[in-house]
Amino acid sequence: MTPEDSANDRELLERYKRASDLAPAAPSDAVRAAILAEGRRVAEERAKSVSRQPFDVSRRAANDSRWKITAFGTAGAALVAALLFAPRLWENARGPAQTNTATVATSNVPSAPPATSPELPAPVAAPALQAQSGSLKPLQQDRQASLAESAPAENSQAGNSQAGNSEADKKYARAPAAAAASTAKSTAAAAPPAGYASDVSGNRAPSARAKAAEPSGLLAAASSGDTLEIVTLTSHGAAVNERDELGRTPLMLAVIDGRPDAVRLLLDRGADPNAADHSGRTPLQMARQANLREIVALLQRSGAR
Amino acid sequence: MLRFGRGEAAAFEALYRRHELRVFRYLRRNVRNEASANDLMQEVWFAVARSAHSYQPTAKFSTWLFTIAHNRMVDMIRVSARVQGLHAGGDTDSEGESPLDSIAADAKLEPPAAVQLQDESAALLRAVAQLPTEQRAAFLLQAEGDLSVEEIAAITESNFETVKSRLRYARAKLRQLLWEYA
Repeated sequence: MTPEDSANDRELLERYKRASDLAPAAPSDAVRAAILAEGRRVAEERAKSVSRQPFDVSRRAANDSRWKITAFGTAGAALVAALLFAPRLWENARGPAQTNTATVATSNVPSAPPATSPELPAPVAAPALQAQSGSLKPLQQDRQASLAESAPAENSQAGNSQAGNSEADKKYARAPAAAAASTAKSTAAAAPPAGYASDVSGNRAPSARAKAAEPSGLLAAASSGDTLEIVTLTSHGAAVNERDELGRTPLMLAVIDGRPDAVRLLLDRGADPNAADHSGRTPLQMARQANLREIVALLQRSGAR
Repeated sequence: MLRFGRGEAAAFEALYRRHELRVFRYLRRNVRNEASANDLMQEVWFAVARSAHSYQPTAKFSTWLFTIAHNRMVDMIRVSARVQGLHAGGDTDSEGESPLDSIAADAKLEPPAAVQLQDESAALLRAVAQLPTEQRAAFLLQAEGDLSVEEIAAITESNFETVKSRLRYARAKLRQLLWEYA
């Protein structure tokens, strides 16, 4: 009934309903029985067909509205995870790409024993001279990489032909700062080294390999005080005295960031306590400037001057 | 209806009991023939039962039910060779008994108020029977089906304003017939 129906219209309808109720209008019993019998028959058929219906994995997703909740929930979780990790990845991508190249390259060295000797040469030697032997062992190659990293960037920029004389030089020589970024990208995108997995055992293999592929490496591990990562990387041949673009070693970064555990571990692993960065500062000087007494004591016990 | 579609026979019976009289009266008042109304009633509910698996609750069940009833009724009127007879035959069905006669036969009720009510009811039903087909269908859908103008327009596949006009004319004519009776 429309709103504009008048009271008279409603009264007329009521009068009709009263009249209709008085008139005996009902289907015959035979028709009623036939209808109900048909209803029961159809219901039985439906019940049988429903029970016989095979399970269809696509049916639930198509007909159940919960799949939307699941899909949107998963997408939302992925979005949140991306938002959380994107800044961290961005920071890593902007990190010391040059040293990462060397670190990842170092991880390519198969079955490299841990660097046990604390007596590493000072970072002044030219890499080409040591790479000329051609029969370098993995440890020597590792040290070669450290030395290559310590070579001044100016040499590469000046077109030093010696840097490209050997394979080791090509592999480990420091690239100019501009080119290092692209190198780091390509290194990060590359597959992990095949020989690396055979060097490590158990469940740590994927983790170590993944970490090695990250652009941070030992320098980042030292800076963040990640002792487990330091052990992993140094146990598989990472150069303990590698340098960043400012000539800082992992030990220096551990000192700067106030990581006494990392300092102790790096010293135990052979880090040079007297190495100096490009500005001539040593770890001990850095620790004293920052008034890090515990680290100063550790360095002094290790012979730092 | 959805429960019946899943195979519950009791759901169908409950559904039928709830709508039985309304549907039958709608058919009965339109075709004005007891046997035809029974045939239509059976057709309608068979159609309901057999299309349960494809039923989608996009509208009220009563709207869907009366749509089936209306379409079957229109089909019967169109194909029946007795269409003219249905329209011109008055309230006498094949057995020669009119529902209006049944009301009058219940005169054993106490007079005079009951008799007056029965007379008035018979006059009203007779007036409904004299309405044009479209007006009668629209009026009965509203009166028996409790359907809105929009729903009636959808069922009869007519314009909203057209249905409003039919209802208005139907009520006016009923009042005139009742006034003449009084």
